[in-house]
Amino acid sequence: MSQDPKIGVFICECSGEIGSKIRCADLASFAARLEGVKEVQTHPSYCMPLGLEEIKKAVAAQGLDRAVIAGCSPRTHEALFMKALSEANLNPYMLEVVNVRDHAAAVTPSVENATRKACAMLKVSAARAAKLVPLENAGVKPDRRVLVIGTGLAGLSAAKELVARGFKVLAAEKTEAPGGMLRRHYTMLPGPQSTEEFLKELLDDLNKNPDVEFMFGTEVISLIGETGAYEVTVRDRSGEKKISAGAVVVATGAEELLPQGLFGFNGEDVITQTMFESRLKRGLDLVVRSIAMIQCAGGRSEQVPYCSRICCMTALKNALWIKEQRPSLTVSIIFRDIYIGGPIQERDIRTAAENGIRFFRYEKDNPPVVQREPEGGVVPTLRIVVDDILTNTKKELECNLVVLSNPLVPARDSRKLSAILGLPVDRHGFMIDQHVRVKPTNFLEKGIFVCGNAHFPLSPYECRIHAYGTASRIANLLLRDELQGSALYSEVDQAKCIACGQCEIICPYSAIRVIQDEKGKKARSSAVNCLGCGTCAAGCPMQAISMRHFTDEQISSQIAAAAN
Amino acid sequence: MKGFEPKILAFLCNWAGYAAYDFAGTKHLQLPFILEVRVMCTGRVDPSQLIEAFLNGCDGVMLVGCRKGECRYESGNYHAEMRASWVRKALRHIGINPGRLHCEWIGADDEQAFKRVAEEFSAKIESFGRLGDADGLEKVELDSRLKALTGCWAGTSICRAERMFSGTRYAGSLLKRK
Repeated sequence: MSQDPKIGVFICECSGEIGSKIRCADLASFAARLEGVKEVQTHPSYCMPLGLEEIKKAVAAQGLDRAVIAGCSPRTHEALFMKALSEANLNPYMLEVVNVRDHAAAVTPSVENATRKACAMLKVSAARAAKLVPLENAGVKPDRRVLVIGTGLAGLSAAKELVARGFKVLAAEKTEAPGGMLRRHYTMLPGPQSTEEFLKELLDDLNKNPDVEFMFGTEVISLIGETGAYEVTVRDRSGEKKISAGAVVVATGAEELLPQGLFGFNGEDVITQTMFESRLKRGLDLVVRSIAMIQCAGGRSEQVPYCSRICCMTALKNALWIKEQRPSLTVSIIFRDIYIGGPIQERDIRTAAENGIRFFRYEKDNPPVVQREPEGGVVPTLRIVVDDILTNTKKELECNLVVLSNPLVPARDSRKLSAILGLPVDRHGFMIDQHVRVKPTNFLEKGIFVCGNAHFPLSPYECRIHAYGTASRIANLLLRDELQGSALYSEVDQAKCIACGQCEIICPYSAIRVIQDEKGKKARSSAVNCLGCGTCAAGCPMQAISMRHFTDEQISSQIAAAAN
Repeated sequence: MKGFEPKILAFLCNWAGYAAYDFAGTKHLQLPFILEVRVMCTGRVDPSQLIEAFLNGCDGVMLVGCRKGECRYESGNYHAEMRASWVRKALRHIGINPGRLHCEWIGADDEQAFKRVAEEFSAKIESFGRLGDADGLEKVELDSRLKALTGCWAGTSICRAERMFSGTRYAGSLLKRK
């Protein structure tokens, strides 16, 4: 660098979070003595509009060419400060955020030590800041095709909304027919709406549209590239093929947990809600005169600790439906807690009580027991013994059919798929947002979205809202002329490269390859496909590869500053 | 050794090590004095950088990244671990306790694991003592040995790199995959 760096150090008090645990004045005077530091400022909270203004003003007034912000985590606030720097006509990569709040103030009990640690951290950051170089993003022209994985309700709804916005949709389905869970259900929430008719209408609509292409029996194998320009490898019966897409929607849904070994589940007279719905579709056996539904059959247990949300609504819907068709039938709902909300659900539960559906409540430690009457043609054949805590009595119910409301669990392949797509999953295996509070429907990759049950069990209504939301997010992203790619990608020094191919072996994304062309046989890296891990840079025996923003020089300066 | 505060440098991957450190802060856990270098992936860390840290006077170096199989970049942490194991071998060779270099693979939300690792490693280095003194090496001798080691990584010839790779079962599987 021809010029000496002009570093501005901005110490954030984080509204007292840092200010009360670190002596900011000491930190500021320490910072002022560091090499290359031209300006030191302190502010109660730099992440607020006023604080950001202060940074911009200081950059302009002092002619700073890089900034160190001692505040909170770069994982949450780097983007905000980068934006502020670019507004101050400074390259956004001339920024170093050092997390003195979480790494010094919060974890060190004495003010003395916390200040000492913050000083040391600031020194490391200032050393790195001095070595920063301005970087430009790799521009990407977005591909206006969207790959939708899974064609259940969420996938189809998203596809419908996307084609309405003028995108081309490729819908990959693992099985041989679209519909997913819709095919197994008879009526749909809210209220009794025929699933078959709904699905037919939706599919007719999509099949007529030339912008939708269905691919059945297709599995996703790998994904490379970045937002706006993904290359996805899929496999179907005819073999593997590559497709390109600007964004990917994961709508692979969930599957039910079969309540094996619970309440005498046998698939004949003790069945699940889904099995019950397919029976309703066929027409319920006239012998059945009494039905009991047991809630939380497998859900909210050690194995499935969460509430699957939709089982109460489904049970209520089915109970009301059957009661309406055959009023003489006895329907009992045996529940632990009824978790429903919303105006329709509230109405349903009142209607149920008015129509004579009986409710019993059991406790987790004392679940109802399903007993089978001895052989001999006794009808009804099942007896349920439940300790009802609503009336505090032991009740015995006789019935022909027990319906278990079992929870939804992540689809069997969801972990495999999440690994392929690089999406994090929670401890149950559902794919999760980047941050529940700050960034809902944002996933790790900007161009990959998860909607429907793959994210968490949703009612059909919520599922469609989620799908439409996803479609609108994709429109926001892909309707631009150019997307800003990442500036973090590896570069190969062609003079040093000996084309050994180590980098090609190391890179899991095929972003760096040894290519023979007119300039000779050299490793070339692709800015678009590179995710910026830098593993190739560390693995190059000739040190020919440099990882932008994490160069050897920058890291060495940090090591030196940390140790001395 | 009483009153000795070890200099510990931690290379943290952005997605797990650094995230867990952040969480530890949000939960106000007490942590020992360690300084960090944030990298996108532990795979970025060069063997020569690990040695450089010792050369600059660090008493202990940690690599903290995603759990095995959960690496944000698929295999970066395997590369990091393999490289660290080379460096450990080399450290033993030049008479430095290889325990001064430690790898840990934790979950992004596992702040307790981070605390445990930081405390255990810090206590371990404290029990080892200051680099060089504890290993019975004079400063000059220590530096010259470490410098020799750095040079050895920087100029790694390709056939040596290949020999190193082919010696591990992991590299075999990598090569097969391609």
